[in-house]
This record gives sequence, C-alpha cells and structure tokens, in this order.
Amino acid sequence: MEAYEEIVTAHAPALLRLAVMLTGQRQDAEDLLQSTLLKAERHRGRLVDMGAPGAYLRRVMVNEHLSLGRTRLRRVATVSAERVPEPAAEDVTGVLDQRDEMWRRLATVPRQQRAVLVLRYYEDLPDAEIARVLGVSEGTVRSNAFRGLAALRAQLSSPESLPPR
Amino acid sequence: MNAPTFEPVSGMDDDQLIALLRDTFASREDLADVYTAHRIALTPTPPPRRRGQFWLTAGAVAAAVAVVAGVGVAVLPSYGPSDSSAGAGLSHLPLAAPTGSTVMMGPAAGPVGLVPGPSVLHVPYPTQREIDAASQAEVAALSAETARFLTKRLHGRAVPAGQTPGALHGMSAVPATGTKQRTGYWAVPGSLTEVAAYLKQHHPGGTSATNGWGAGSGSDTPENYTFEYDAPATDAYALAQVGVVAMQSGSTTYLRTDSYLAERWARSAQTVVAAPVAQVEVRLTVGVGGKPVTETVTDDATIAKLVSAVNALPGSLRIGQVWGCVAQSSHLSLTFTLGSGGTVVADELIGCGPGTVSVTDDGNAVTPELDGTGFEAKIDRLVPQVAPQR
Repeated sequence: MEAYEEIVTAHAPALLRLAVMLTGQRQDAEDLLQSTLLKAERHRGRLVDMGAPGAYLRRVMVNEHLSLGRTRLRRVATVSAERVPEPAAEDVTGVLDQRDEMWRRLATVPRQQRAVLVLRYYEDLPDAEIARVLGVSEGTVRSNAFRGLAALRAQLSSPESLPPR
Repeated sequence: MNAPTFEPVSGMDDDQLIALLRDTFASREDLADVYTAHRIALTPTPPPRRRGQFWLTAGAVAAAVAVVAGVGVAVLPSYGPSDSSAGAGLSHLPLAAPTGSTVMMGPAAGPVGLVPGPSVLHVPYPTQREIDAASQAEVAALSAETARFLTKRLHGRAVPAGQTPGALHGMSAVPATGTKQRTGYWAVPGSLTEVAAYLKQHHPGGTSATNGWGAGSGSDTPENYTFEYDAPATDAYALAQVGVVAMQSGSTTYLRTDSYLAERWARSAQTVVAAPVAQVEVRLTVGVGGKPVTETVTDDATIAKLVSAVNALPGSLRIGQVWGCVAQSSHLSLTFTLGSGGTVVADELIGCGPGTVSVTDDGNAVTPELDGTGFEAKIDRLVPQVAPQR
C-alpha cells in the first residue's frame, strides 16, 4: 500500500470527528472530510514527506470549512439563535439535557469562533498552534474564544433555553 | 452515557462552562463512524462527470445479475457495499471496484447448456494487491485508533519498548505470526487494577466490546491482564483484533498493544463457478465410511443460488493451518455440471477447523481454498433434502 493511502486512512477517523465538531452534522462532516481529502490528494507527494501529516490535514480541513462558510454566507442568510429549530423528538419527550442544549446552541456560533472552541477544547491545541492553523494572530484566537464562550453563556443562560427540570 | 450533573448555566463559572463544552464534544463523537471515515479515505477520487454519463457503484455492480452482450448469465457474489450482512467493516470499502479487480472469464464453451452462446462473467473480487492495501490500511487504522484510545481516554503516552518491563516484550494477546501486525508500548498513570477495570468496560474505536480478558502471573511474569477486542472481518481479512497486555511497575501501568489481522487469499478465476450450469449434485458424507446422501438439483433458481453460494465465499486465510481431524470429518460436496460438460466440485470439510472449501476443476485442484464460514448452513437451507441427515 502506498504511504499516502496509509496516512489518510490512519488519520481519517480523527478528521471525521473533527469535522463533526466543526459542522455539527454527520452528513456535512462526511462531505467536509471528502473535500479535505480531495484537496490533500493534490499534494500527496508533500504529505508523505511531512513529519506531522495529521496537523497538515487538520489545517486543510479547518480552512476548507471556513472557506465553505464564506462561500455560503454570500448565498444563505445566517440563522439567528432564536430561529434555530428545536428537534421535534426532544420537544415531545422534554429530555434535553445541557449537552443537547449546548450542541444546539453551538450551531449559532460564528464559524471561526466555533472553530477556535473546537480546536481549543476538543483538540486541546494551544493558542499558538490554533493561530497557525487559522492563519491569524494569537490575540485573535483569544478574542474568538472569549466571544464564543460569551455567546454560549448568554444563550444558555436565558430561562427559555434551559433544559426542563 | 449518562449526562453528568452540572450547575445551572447561569451559575457556572468559566471552568464549568468549558467542562460542559468538552463533555458536549465528547458526547457527539459517536456521529463520526470510524468505518465511514475509512471508506471515504479509501474511495478513489472520482473523475469529473460528463453529461449523459452515470456511474455504477461497486455495490450496484456486485449486486447485479449481469447479462453481458445479451446472451450470457452470470451469478455474482454479493461482495461490496451492497452486502448489508457484511457488517460495518472494510468490506464496505471499494475493494470491489470494477476496474483492476475484475476477474473476466469466458467466453464460455459452446455446447448448449441452460444458456447458449458465449458469455463473459465479470466477478468483482478484490485482487491480492487490493487485499494487501485494505489490510495495511486497516491495521494502520486500528493502531491509530488504539493510540488515540490510550492517549485520550487513559492519558497514556507512547514509550520505547526498552522503557517497559521486560516481561511485556514476550507477551502478546494475539497470534504471534500474521501477515499484518503493529505493536506499541505505552505508559499509563494509575494502578494495574484501575487500568484493567477501565479496559474491561471500554474499547478502542473500530472494535467491538472486549471479547475476552484474562489475568495471570507466574514465577517469571508479574501480575498482568490481557484483553482482546475484535474488529469486523471483511472480504480482505478474516480476523482483525487489538490485543492489550497490561502490567504494573511502580505507580505506572505499562501496556503492550498489538493490532493484528490475518488477510485472505484473493480468489482466482479458476475457483469461480461459471454459468451455464446444467445441474448440481449435493452430496453429504458423514464421517469415515458413512453412506453418502445425495440430491441432484436441476431447477434453475436453486442452481443459481448454489452457484452464488460458492462464488460468494471469500478466500481462506493466508496463514497456514494444519488440522489433525481429517479422518473423523464429514464432507459436503457440490458437483456442478457445466453446460460445457466439465465439472467443478466444491468440497467442504465439516467439523474440522474453520470449514475450508476446496475446489477442483475437472478433477484438478485449484487454488486458493475458500473460507467456508456459513456455507454449510446456507446449503442446508437451499437443499433441505440433504440437511436432515446430518
């Protein structure tokens, strides 16, 4: 087996998990993984020679995700927190726990802020590495993290969004 | 997983909010299926579509009964993504891609059988190269998932073998020989009891729950635990496992992990039963000197299913195995009389080892042998006249 296939196969599960955290949807995550690997495939020679191909693939994925977001923003209106549809099944059973609520509200956080939260609190990357992945300064990373958390806290604190007791 | 107890969000401090966020991310990992990831990773880059062109997926090809050139009939095995019974393993990968892995047979010999005229049989079996590639990918993926499991869940770190207890080096929870294997050594904080308790309840991604564990110790070997986790078998390999051996030294528990799989032989064109088939004789002989029970099948539908049953078998394991039970064993033989007048015999040794099916073509043994798992039960259902005698 060629080294390239071995590398992408080994990293694919972790990349798909990252894609789920970035997009919030299984289908979108699979599409994102596919487009990431299509991009990476164009540089397969370089990838094989890299010391940390996983970091490279992660960077490609995050930037692909943000780039897709920019493309779609021109065509699709953003969804405000108030208009996020409630999952029907959860409405009926009333069993939303705080994780469900958090996951739902994450969908309303701007992409770059969400990407920072994912890289910081899911991938456990230091801010310097997040800055490299996103191509921004560490200060921007910190402000994005702060705003993302603040937005989540504001949404989750409103009484109507709290899970039923 | 039960939801952890959190304070109301309005009363959370930053650490609590971040803990909830981390827990939320972890709770959604299940949305990312490891086999879907493998399938996407190994799916070849699609060529640009052209107007009016459509693709057949490997699954559609495998599921199809192809009529080629309007005159030939091929009964194809259910390899590939369309085979829902194949589990979630790498059999869902494009092993059966129509290009490069197609065994082309024919044209079939002329004399009139059930279907006259020339035919070409396209059988989407994986080639040995594809099997090797899929096996290599799977062992790498299993190894990576195991590494992630140990680092993320148990806060382990990879260490050189030389920094682990010597007794660990000679221990493996999986067979010592195999065609694909990756070994790693890990240091995990905590006692052996704590680590073992966790390993009993959890398993690396891509594997099923713990299928076996054991504890041991001896004069040369400190107290240790072994664990085995299974990954699904596929058309490329029959056995995929992660084995873990845990042993404590000081306040650290050291682990040896072996990601292992045993790949199959690729099927050859010679082992494929090609249509047209005029009849099939199903014969069961129980034990040595037992009186054979025979049933001759002539209806087209059952013949097609018997042909498919043989053609659907994957190749046997490449690991050489010697079984000492031949003399006491029973045989299930299917003799296919072809339209050309030749015969193909698929013979399974029952009750001895893994149920390997050997194939002879006009009396000449052909390779490889086939994996007969489930074969006998399938024939029982198709030809129940023979089954009750067993």
